[in-house]
Amino acid sequence: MTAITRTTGSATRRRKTVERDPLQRIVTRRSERVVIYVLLILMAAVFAMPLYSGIVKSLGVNGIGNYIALLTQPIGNVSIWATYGNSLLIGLFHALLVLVVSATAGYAFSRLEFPGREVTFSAVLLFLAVPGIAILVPVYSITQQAGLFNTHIGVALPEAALTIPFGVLLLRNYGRNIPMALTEAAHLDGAGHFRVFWHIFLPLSRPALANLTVLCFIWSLQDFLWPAFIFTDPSMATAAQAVQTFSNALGQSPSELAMYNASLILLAVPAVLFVLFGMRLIVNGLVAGGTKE
Amino acid sequence: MTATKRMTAAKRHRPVRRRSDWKVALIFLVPLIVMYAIYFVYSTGFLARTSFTKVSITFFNAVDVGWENYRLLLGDPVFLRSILNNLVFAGISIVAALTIGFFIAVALSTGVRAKRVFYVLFLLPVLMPLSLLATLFNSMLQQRYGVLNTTLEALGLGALAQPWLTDPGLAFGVVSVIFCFLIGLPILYYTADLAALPTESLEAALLDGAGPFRIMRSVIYPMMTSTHLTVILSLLLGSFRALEVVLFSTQGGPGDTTEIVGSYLYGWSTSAGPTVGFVAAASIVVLIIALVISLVQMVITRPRKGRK
Amino acid sequence: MNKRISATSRGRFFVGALAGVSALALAGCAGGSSDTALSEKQTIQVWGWSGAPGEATMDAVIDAYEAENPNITVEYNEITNTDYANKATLALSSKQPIDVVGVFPNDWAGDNEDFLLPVDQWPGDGSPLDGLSENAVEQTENLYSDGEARSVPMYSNGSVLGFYNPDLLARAGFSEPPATWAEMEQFATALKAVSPDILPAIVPNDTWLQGDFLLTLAGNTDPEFWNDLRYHDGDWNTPATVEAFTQYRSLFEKGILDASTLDVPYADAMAAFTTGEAAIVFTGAWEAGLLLDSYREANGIDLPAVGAMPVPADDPDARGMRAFVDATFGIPVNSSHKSAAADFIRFMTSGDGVDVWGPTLIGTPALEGWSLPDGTLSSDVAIAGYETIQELVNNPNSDRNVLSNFENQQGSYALEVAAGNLSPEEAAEKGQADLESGKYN
Repeated sequence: MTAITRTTGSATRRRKTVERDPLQRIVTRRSERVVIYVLLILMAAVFAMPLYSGIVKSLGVNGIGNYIALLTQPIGNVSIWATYGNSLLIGLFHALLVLVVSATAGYAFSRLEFPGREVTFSAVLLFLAVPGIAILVPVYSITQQAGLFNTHIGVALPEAALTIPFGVLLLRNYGRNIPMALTEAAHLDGAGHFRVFWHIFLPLSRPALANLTVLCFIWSLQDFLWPAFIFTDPSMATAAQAVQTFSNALGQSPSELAMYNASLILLAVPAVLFVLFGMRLIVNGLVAGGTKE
Repeated sequence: MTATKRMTAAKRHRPVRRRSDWKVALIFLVPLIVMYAIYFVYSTGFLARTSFTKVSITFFNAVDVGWENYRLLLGDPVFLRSILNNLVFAGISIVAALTIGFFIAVALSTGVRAKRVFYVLFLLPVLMPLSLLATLFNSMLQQRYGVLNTTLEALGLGALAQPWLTDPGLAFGVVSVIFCFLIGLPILYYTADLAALPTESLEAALLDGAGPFRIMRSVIYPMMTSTHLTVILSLLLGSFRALEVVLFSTQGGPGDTTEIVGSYLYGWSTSAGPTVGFVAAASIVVLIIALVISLVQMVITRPRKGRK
Repeated sequence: MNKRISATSRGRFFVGALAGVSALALAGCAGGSSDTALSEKQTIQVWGWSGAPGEATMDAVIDAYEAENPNITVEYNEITNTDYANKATLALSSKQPIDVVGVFPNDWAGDNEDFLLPVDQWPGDGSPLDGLSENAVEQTENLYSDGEARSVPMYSNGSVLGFYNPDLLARAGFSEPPATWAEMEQFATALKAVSPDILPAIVPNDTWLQGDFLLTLAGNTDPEFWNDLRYHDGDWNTPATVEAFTQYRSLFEKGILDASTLDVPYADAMAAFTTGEAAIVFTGAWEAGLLLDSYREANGIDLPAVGAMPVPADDPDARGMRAFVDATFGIPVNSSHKSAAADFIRFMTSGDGVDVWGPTLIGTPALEGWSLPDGTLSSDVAIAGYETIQELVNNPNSDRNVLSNFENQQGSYALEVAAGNLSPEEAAEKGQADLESGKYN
């Protein structure tokens, strides 16, 4: 999970039509184009290698049967569908929490004036680099006191805490790009801030909110740390954490090792789907990590 | 008053100070304040308090030990090595991003067919569970049974088959490679900013008949310094939060060669017995380092004075 | 200014309400020191760690118990052994509903004794410790600061020993397993001459098992070594330790162990053995199921026979290993089904349950006088192997009372020594520094 603030604005300049785009014209000779393709393909092959190796190993012994077995029976008390379900539910709570906090704080930091605003905002951003493992111990204590072990919200809360700095950054920057004129007009008509927030800021921020939602789901799917520590009941597992559970449950024989690799591939599927279908949202969200102007 | 307001509303960046909205702001900031208070402020205090004790995960029967945990921590060569490793891995992935990542981004913007397939392939490692990626690497690189070595043997290149995971130098290289697999994100940043490049210099270079590689190196690369900075900072932040990359591939091994801050903390967090005070001390040091990195990032990307 | 309740306020209420509900729920579950009569319909929760005795075996025991006690349902929750310590402690301290909890036979027991009900307060007739071997009971009692047992031992085990493939041994001309390292070297050479692709022996690279193996080597040189360190503040850096590291490295130099297996974890190492790619695998006695034809069949293991051997030593009479009680079970103070829990534990440790798991050879039962039913073991190899295991477990050279963090760390040094990246003397020194630093105990 990373976020940065950038100093160039990507929203302002729009690419000219393709034919007039000089980048498209810098490759003139055939030989150069070939070199470029070869290099790209080589690198893509290297990038695809781990997945390829997993797929190869997973088709050993029983072939496709491994996948079918995984999709129909649980392994060590955990069914693959349950891991998908758990991850998605956590993602939902995660996204809700982050949206609520980011939208409200983003509005405050971009549309409201108050003393110490920039200093407070900087203080919020200070926590962008905090690794989850560093706050593991207090989160244990907090989760214990709130009785939230083995609950989805118990996992979503620390996840949200670590995503919030990024979310606030995103919404605040987005909010600054909304022309003041719009809100000024509303204020002049007598609308208070709550109204402006609900009827103007939120609808206009929809793209940023959508990006943030997708990113929250992806990050919940990726998260290993919080499910590993907060789900003490092994029958509750999420995709990233099930890797560990399966490696312990699937032991000795080659057929089980093949199944283990098949489970790895299956666990990667939701992420792949999100990337395939949500690519634009993801890209926009990550890239718009901040325009600071 | 209305006319004045309208006039000043036209200026986006320095509206006349109305009465401050701090009361409303406070209400809007409540969710943020609650989350931060619990998860960052309380946490830091809790960690600080616990770090001066020797206690188990139950938090009962804490024994006060003063600065002992910090002494043990800062005297532990493994901890210091893990911080160094974080920096080195970050450095390596930064170099890879600034070169390979840059090249890939530009290459894909020059009108390559099946662009989307390439993007997906390069972006996938960043967005799939890292525990999976690292596990696949581990399984692939086992000396005797891993796909890489068995393929090399099959191709008659058995001499190249190495103990990737048990030789310290090689293991270090392996983890570096996994970190480099995460350049999908920098590629995104480059791609987005490429679309916004001013075209005059490019046109001029094209007129001069310069080849694509020359253009990439001498024209485009220097023009993207702010993106380079973005990439550097984002990778630095990201590498510090890394955990699964090392945990599932080499587990910090062989020995302690590839330990990073995350895996070090994880190892001590999962060990039994009264080690929680020690973990808390390590967490405090890690938090301080994280805050310093964020501070550096903020200072460097502060907009120049004239703008605000 | 319009101060109507807005979405944000609703959001805040939600979070506040959530916190409130959680607090109430927690308060409601606080009282747990009651009990439910045995005759009532109830469900009890059992927590154990992987491999002790393992899901399949536990399920069989539970089925037998539920058949005898139809009004009690037992649910089993298994956690990986490497995660168990902290997860179980957390669950106990946050008063999660657990009725039967596996108790690690090491410092963990003492650290968590406040959560466990002393055995003499368990419901039921007579002490659950009646009929169990003195050794096992004593070892269990010594785990607690006041010598009062708070858990009941189920079986004992030891580590490390070797399981071998008689066919592969025969192929190299060995009708009996090698007893000394010199014989092992001969075996390795002979095997490689005939089947160069087959590993003579393999040790899984998991650091805890590497530590176990190292300590077995040290124990074969100096039997008092571990007990001294564990119970009498003995040093780590002793001649026995340096000898153990040196010996370990020499195994790789002599071709007995292969450096290419230093990255092979437990499951893969066992798979190498069961598919005939390795002639001997060194692990703990809990894998004794391999001796059984029925076990091998059920798991698709295609080896006609498997035998058991001690880890070789230069002096064949010095061969031994560490052994100790393995699976022990206790009842949390907060359980609300203590009668059923106690009944289940008795069933498992000294009742009919022993006849269910005993024949799986998962461990040596603590129950005195229990013997394997006739016909469980058919071949001579299996019978001899079983006797070897019994001999080793019942006459250990020291207690396998593990210091897990410390042993894991020494195991990682063992791996480095094996790879040639650390000298035995340096490793022993580092270990001594670790011991003295107080980080590991």
